[in-house]
Formats: sequence, structure tokens, C-alpha cells
Amino acid sequence: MMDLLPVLLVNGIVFGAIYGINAIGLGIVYNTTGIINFAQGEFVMLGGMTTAYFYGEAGFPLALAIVGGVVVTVIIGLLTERIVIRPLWRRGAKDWTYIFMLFAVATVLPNLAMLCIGRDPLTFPSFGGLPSLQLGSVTLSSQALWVLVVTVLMVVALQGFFGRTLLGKAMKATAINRRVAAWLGINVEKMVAMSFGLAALLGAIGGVIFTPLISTQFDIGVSMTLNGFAAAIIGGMGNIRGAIVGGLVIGILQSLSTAFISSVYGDAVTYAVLFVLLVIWPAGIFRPLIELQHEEI
Amino acid sequence: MLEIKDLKISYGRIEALKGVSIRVDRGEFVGVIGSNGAGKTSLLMALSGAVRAKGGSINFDGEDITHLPQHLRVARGIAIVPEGRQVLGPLTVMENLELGAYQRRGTPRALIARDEEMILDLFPILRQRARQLAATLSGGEQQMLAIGRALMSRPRLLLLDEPSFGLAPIIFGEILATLRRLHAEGLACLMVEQDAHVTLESTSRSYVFRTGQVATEGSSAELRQGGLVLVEESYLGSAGTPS
Repeated sequence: MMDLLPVLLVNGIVFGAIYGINAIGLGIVYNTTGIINFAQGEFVMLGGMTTAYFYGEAGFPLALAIVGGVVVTVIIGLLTERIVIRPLWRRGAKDWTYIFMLFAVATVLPNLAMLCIGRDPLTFPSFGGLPSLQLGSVTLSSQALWVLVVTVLMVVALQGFFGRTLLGKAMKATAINRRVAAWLGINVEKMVAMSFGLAALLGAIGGVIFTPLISTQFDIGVSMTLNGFAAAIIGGMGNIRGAIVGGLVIGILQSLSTAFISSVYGDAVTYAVLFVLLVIWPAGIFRPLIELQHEEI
Repeated sequence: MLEIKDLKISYGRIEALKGVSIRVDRGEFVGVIGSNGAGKTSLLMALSGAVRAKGGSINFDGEDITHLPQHLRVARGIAIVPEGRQVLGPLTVMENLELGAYQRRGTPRALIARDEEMILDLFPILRQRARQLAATLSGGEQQMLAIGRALMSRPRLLLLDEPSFGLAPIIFGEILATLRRLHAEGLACLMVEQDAHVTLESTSRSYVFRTGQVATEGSSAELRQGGLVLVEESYLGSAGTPS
């Protein structure tokens, strides 16, 4: 059994990276809005499903199918903000109304995907171009390497965006204090829209890089949201590096549980881990990037 | 420059402003004084666009801005130094200044950098703190940063909400001296303050607010001499009218 350990670790890391990407997406939306986006995992599902559709049904070359899948998902992310969030936002709705509406989105999107694309698992070929790596007894497939490389690139890009660009800093300012951001002339509604677009982009890329590893299906979103949420709680909401660490923790524990306990307990393991961690560290292990200062008015 | 007519604000069923009319001329330094809850902050909320007006109009440089989105008011030249300073604590001093110029994102970086230099000359202590997080600054330094940040948008009208709040009188005196200098260079200011004496000494004209209305208005010098009884009356409330 112990011979399996390295393989399980590598598997866990690869899946953990996807959870980490999701956790970053959740954190970005949470920071600008204070809302947990329960539709985050649906962006992962849509990214994979629409790419598979463009590749398999429409017959696009893989690269074009990927671009198409990512673009469609980002558009759906922006529409979610526009149709569901903004009208409530303008009317000063309570936080739980958003949660309810996002649950609705998380119900509608999988059904739409099932109706429009199909209910069977879909996949597309791995990207190629990268070698597979032999790490001792474990082989890291070319696609697994893609997952890790793309994850690292996204983390670097996001840190550059939030740390160096004026737009990124404006989003950060919005996260720190929406009222002050508005006083500085930052269009807060635009920042909220951008955070949904960015979250959808991250989810879509996550879905695209992970699908060739196994497959994707219309109903994987809920589990993706759950695992991303768990990773975000461990990693500190909005803390980019923490999100990746949180994702890896969840990914590795799940991978170990499939081997040593049973393959059916994947998400149950996430809940159990989260429960134990939160009982010990109620505030999460890493600090959130920004402790939201709740507005007084 | 700024002409407010019959402005009304309410939070739910509570009327915070019951129709006030106020004017700020080009390059003027105008004060608004009054006790807590007189509606002073509500006035600035409505002017900056943080709160929607329930009635009346706000005219700035010939344009009706009553319903103009908040971020565009900064672009038109209205900047606010909010009550309690409200610097962005997790960001550095320089980042705070940079974000103050957010509405000027089309402007070449060199011009923005020149304005940053100007602010750091105006408040030399900020230069020493440039790379520090704003949260680590003292209250007075944060107030300077809040003013500097507002100036980065190159405003023509500066709104100041309770700038003395929580500051030692000496520190506030220094800040006030800087504000007077900016005013002398042509910046119009509208300052809302509980401290009537300081306000009447610094401004040319003042309005005295009482329960959401303008109780008295006039030149600050006159209010200081003849009208001070009236000013005090509005702090004590109408019940306490001295005979």
C-alpha cells in the first residue's frame, strides 16, 4: 500500500491545484462583494463542458475550442453578475439573498449544460507540448504538468495584477473598504463585475486544464465549489498563496482517502477535514488577505 | 461654483436634511458647524454621492450633478476627506496617493508622480513613511494622507468632514495651516466641523446647522462676534434659548 503513496501525493497535488484556483476565484468575489459565490464550481464545469463541445461537436481545433470555452464561460460569469447580482446590489439587498440567488445559478447552469451539451462525461485530448516527468517511481503526465505550470503562472499573474497595476490596486481598495473606494472615484459596480469575470476566467481555465486528466460532466460544479470553499477557508479568504496551500491540503487528503478508505468518500473527507480544522482554528489557518471592515452606515 | 438648493436627505423614515440651501463660490473657504446629528455629515454624503438626495438639487460649475454617479463626481473635481480619515490601512502611503489619482488614469505617469512629489513636499512626514502601510501611521499622519489622497484627484472643491476628529489641537493646527495655504492657492473648501471656534476663525463664511436645517448663515467674522449667541443656541437646541 505504501508504494502507492507517491502516486497518491502527485494526484492530490494536481487536483489540489484546481481546488486552489477555485479558492482564489471565491476569494476575489468575496473580497469585492462580501458574498460567497456558490456558482464558482459551475465555472469549472462550464469551462470543461463548453471546450469539449467546441472540440467534439463543433469540430474546432483544440486551441480554438479552449479559447471558445473560456470566452463563453467568462461571458456567463459576467452575465451572472449583471442579471443576478447587480439588481439586488442596487436595491441594497441583504447578503443571504445573494447566496440564495447564486444557489439558483448553481442549479440552473448544470441543467442548461445538460440540455445544451449532454449528460454524458466528456473530455478532450491533453494539450501535449510538455514532456511527462519521471519523479522516482511516479510519472507526472504531460497534462498533469500543464495543470501545475498553468496554476503557478496564474498565481504569478494575479499577484502582479493586484500588486502592481492600478486596476488591481483599485480592486484591492474596493475589497478593503467599498465606501472609501467610491470616494476615490473608483466605480465599485465595475469592480464587482470584474471580480465575477475574473472568477469565471479562473474557473474556466481550471476546468480546461483538468478535464483531459479524466473527464468532466454537467454535475461536477457543486463538488468543485465545496472543495474550493474548503480550500479558501483553510487558506484565508482572498489570500492567493493560502488558497493554493488550502487546495493542496484538500486535494492530498482526498487522494489518500480514496486509496486508504474508499473512493466514494471524496467530498465527505473535505467536510470532515474542514470540520476538524475549524474546531481547532475557527478563523482558518492563514490570515485573510484583507480583514473586511464592515461599513457602519 | 457649488450651489445647493433645498437639499433633502433621509435614511428610511428619519429625515437628516430637511431642505438646505448652500453656496460655495470659487476659491471660497466655507464652514458648516452644528452639533451632532445636525445633518453636517449627511450634507457631505449627498455632495460626494455616497447618499442619494431625496429632493432638491446640487449644481456644480453649471452642471446639475444631483444624480451624477459617485465616481464621476471625483472626475468633475469634488474630492472628500472623510470623517475619521479612512485611509486604506493595508496599502502603503504611496498606494493610497496613487489611488487618489484613480480618476486621472489617462494622465501620463510622470504628471502623477509630480503631484505625488507635491503632496510629499506639502506633508514632509509622509515622505519618511512613503513605503509604510497606512495603518501604521499616527492619527495626524493619517489625516495628512487623507488630505493628500484627496488632492491627488486635482479637485477644485475639497470637502472636509470633521478634520479635527481625534487629533491633538497642535496637530490639527498644523493641518489647518496647510489647508489655508491650499485655499490661498485657489482651492475651494467646504469644511464641516463641530469645533465652532476653529471653523469661524479659518473660514470666510459659515452655515450653522440645527436638526437638518440651516439655522444661521453669514460671514464667519460676524458670526464670531455678534452671532455667537445664535451659534451657541443652535448647539444647545431651541429649548435652551437664553432670555
